[in-house]
Amino acid sequence: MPANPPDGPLAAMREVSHVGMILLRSDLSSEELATWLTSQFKVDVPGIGELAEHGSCAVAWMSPDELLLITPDSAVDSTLFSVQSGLADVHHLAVDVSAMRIVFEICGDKFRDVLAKGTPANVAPESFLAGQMRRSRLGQVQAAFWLRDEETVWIICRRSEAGYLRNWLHSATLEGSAPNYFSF
Amino acid sequence: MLFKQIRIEKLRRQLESSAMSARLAKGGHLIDRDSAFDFSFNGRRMSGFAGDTLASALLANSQQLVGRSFKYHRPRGIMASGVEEPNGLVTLGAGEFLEPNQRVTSIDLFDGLAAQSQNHWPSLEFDLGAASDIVSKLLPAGFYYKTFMQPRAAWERFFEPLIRRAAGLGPAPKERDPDTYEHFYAHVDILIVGGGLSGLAAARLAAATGVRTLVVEQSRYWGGRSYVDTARVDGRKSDEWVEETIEDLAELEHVQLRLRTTATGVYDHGYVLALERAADQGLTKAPRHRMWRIRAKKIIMATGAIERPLCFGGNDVPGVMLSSAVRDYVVNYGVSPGDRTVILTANDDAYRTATVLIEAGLSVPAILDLRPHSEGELANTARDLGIRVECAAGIASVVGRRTVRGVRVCSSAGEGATSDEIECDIVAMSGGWSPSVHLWSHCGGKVRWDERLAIMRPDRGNPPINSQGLRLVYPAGSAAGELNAIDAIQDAETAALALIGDLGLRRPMLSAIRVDAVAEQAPMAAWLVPNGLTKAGRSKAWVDFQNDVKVSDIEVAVREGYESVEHTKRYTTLGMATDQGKLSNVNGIALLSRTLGTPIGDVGTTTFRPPYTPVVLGAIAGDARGQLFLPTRKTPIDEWHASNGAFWEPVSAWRRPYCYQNGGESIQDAVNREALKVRMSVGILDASTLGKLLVKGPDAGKFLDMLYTNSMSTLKPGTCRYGLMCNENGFLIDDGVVARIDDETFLCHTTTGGADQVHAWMEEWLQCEWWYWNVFTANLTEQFAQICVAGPNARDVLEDLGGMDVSEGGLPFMRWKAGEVGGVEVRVFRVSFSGELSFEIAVPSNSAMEIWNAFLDVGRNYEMEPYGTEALHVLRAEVGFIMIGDETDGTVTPQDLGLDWAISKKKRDFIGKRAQERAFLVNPNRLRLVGLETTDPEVVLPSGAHAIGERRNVHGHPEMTGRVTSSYYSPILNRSIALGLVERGHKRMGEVLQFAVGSDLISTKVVDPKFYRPGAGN
Repeated sequence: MPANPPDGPLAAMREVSHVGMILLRSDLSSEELATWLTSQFKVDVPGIGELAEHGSCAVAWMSPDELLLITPDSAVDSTLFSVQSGLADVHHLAVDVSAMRIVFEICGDKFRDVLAKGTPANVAPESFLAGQMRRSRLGQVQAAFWLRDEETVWIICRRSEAGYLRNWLHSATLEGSAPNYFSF
Repeated sequence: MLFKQIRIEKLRRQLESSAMSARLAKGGHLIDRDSAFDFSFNGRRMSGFAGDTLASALLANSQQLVGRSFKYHRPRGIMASGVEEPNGLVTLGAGEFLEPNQRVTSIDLFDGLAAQSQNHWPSLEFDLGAASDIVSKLLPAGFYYKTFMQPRAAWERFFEPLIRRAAGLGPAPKERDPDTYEHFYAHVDILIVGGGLSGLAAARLAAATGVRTLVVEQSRYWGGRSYVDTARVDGRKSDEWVEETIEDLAELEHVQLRLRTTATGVYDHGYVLALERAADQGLTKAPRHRMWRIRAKKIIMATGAIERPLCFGGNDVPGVMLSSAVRDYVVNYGVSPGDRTVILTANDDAYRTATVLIEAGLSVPAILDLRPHSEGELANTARDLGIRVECAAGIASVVGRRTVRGVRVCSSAGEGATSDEIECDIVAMSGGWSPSVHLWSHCGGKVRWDERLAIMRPDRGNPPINSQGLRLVYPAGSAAGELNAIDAIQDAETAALALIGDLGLRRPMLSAIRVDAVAEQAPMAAWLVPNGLTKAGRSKAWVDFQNDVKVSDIEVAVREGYESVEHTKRYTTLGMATDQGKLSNVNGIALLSRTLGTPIGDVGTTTFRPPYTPVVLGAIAGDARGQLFLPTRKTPIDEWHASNGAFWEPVSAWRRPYCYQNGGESIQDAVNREALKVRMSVGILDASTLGKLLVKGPDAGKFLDMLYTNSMSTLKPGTCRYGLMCNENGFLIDDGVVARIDDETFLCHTTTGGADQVHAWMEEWLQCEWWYWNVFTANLTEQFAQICVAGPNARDVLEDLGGMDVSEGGLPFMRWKAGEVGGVEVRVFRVSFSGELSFEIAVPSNSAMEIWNAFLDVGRNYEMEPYGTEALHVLRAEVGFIMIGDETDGTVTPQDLGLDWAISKKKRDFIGKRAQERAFLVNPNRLRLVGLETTDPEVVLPSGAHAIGERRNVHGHPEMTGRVTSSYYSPILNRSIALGLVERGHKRMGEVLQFAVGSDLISTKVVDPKFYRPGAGN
């Protein structure tokens, strides 16, 4: 049986504030969208399950006609303004959703072990890579997550369920509870 | 006198066993003699070593007797050494750690372990329940079904409680389990179940392909039976080979190895549940069990085989053990189950036990081989050691009742005439081996009867299949029916290579493993010992030890007409205990076939179902307990409610304040106060849970015209309209206010419970039916908190806060405006759900507390108070507004509720329009919404109460003519009010109905549902 040295929580957890989020629905194959994303975020339209990052911004694929634009919250208004002109001739919906989700950061080399306690998505290193976002669940609530670096993952969940997820993450990172599956 | 004798006997035994240790001076491959553990059994202190199972430690302390049998309370001892153990079930721990029915052979000993035997009173040694053994002739198969039929009432009052007390094993735990449990998801290419030689041979090949591989082994050591049974592998001692192989595998990052992990079930789509016993009971902060939820592309089933007992008279007496278990205890644990062992066998394998015992310095008075001849290498070795080998011999009966004192020898063929009596304290029996095919069967794999080897083995032509219809499970080694080590390894490698090929992977270039093993002679299928066992003997020959099923019970079932194996199983309870018939299954089927005179292959098998071994309920729940039991959705203002006396009510997944209790106030008083406050001055409500769906696009108006019964495309930007949504059957499913934001954009408010469903409903229509319409939707429910300020002073509160013109002219009824209130960016909707002047203020959730506090601040001048959902309901009912889920139940149309005004006559179509024209929905006798006033104003009708009509049904019972849909006490009217649905209700104003409540009838007048008309506002 794997004996875990009592060395504190499996990963550090914190809540990230001031993350701006914009929901953008549109035809993801349109040229206008590609042009606007390149000029605004210096990224291409992300493919299925992808998250394209540049600087402090990221663009995540949410569904075949939906993206999530992630920016500093100070840039939300200007981005919304820019999308209005950039996609003026394209049927789209862009709306500030910064207040409806909470962002958690999990940091530490055991973060994959922590995630795999609650998500049925495959989070193995060969399957869950930088530049991808998984829309799945953690425990009993919806959650999406992506890698910030090799040991850091950001998780977003509904604001109303953040209390549950905070407790869940606390429980999943409890000292001594490492499955030691992805890390030894 | 009798009791005195028993006491003396008990004392003698205790002295004897405490003085005696059955631990051998040397040997014990799995134990660490330097690390001693203390434990207790029935309060007696005992000691064992690290590496012991509870079973080996008990045997080392000469504790063979471990429990009483389920039905007849017969004394039972340890029979096996693995998960197949049928007798050794104990209660582990006490109080909060109490856990019944734990198998002594599966519990790894830990320091401080405390175990209690089960199913006896007053004690294990002396059990009054054993009286049922004396009258066992009166308790045949189907005894319960036959006996407890009459009188009917006696079942519930008398028989069932009695049987419940008499049957069953350990006590149910009554306290909360303090241990923790968790789940873990793993996605693997190859899952290998079983870490014996076959599993490791397969793992070696799987690992060489480089794909993600997980190997799980239920015990706490690798190598399975190899150390005990197989001398050399690849030219090395088998334990060295195992160690090296594990070391090699452990270095590979794509390979994971897990001990103490049992694959308990195989399901569709390569889904496998495995239980990891990560820690011992109560010892660590870490999870005790981890439930692995594995997705495997392919599964190797190297689960080995389980030895079969033999059916002879007295085969359940403590001291009768499986032959392999006897040598396991000697070799693995350095424990001697007894000094003199008689071996009864139908195969060569049991001769290994004889050799092991002699080498350990123990005595083997005789080997009784049921076969006419035994000239194999193993038999000759035994003969060379000077052991007496008798062929064509069996056991007529066992001498001894609480412990084996000897056996009476007979010919294997006759009826059991005794030719000799041999003194012994252990009988080691071997009826052959049964492949563990459980996992193969869980997901649809078929088994077939192999006549030559007398085994049920996986039928490779009928495997469990995955979602592509391809092979999912690959049996390997002895689990596949290859019982000899040489064949088993070869089979495991062949299976692994087939799997690798099926995955499209390159075949690894590894040389085949060479195993040294001796050739074995064919086993004999022996179902009864002796073959012509007498009737008396058959009623003392056990088939299923855990559920107390005897050979005679199967015969009773057949005599009574049972033919199907599935029916017989249920009638006799054969194989239905927690051991899942691991020992009894094949013997039971064979005896059924023998009694029926049908070949075994035609009798078939029962279905194996998960779990392979029992799983603690806590492991299934995982972390879903305590505060993680169920997520509760909370609004941004939730904390304020919690610290201000909120009495909570669950509303879909949310929690909302039902009311706020001041000091010692009752709930009803609080609701009355809150509702009155809104009528008299002003109240404030957290309405954040309301669904808020943004609908945008050039076709948005057209889309909403289809979704709602009334017209939304004609709304002007800046205005609001109350709308109804029906399903295709014409029934009302949701309601709410729609606000037009701009030309292309609408904001649709839904009920709290409807938010997610209505959003999904919109997307369903947009994606499946009207995919060519240009409309996008977004669920913004959680982006905005919504605060309702309602009451005659509501406008003053907003004006005091300042920032927006909310005058009658500035913001008329059913209009909305964006702007600032109290310095916060808001949208203000002038709508009302109470009939009072009312404003709903939407703010980004981040700013909810800021504006909530600001309102509370200025509201003080008006004695404003927060109100909860119950006051909200009272207020809306007072003015006759309906509530989805109260007045509607999926069978109610808007017309039933008198909402015809909200149904467009001009629109060509909307969802539900066609249905609402059908005969049943235009029937004038339908139930219609009415107000209900009880004659006694103090009596509040219970919701759901029915009104009695004049007609009678075929049974002469009165038919119901209506029902109460919501009912309250109205503080402003000082009387009870209710809404209800009554047949042709709208035409029956003034009529007095009788509502049946218990045995009372409550006179109630049918009235207009608008009970109260507010003076001010709208």
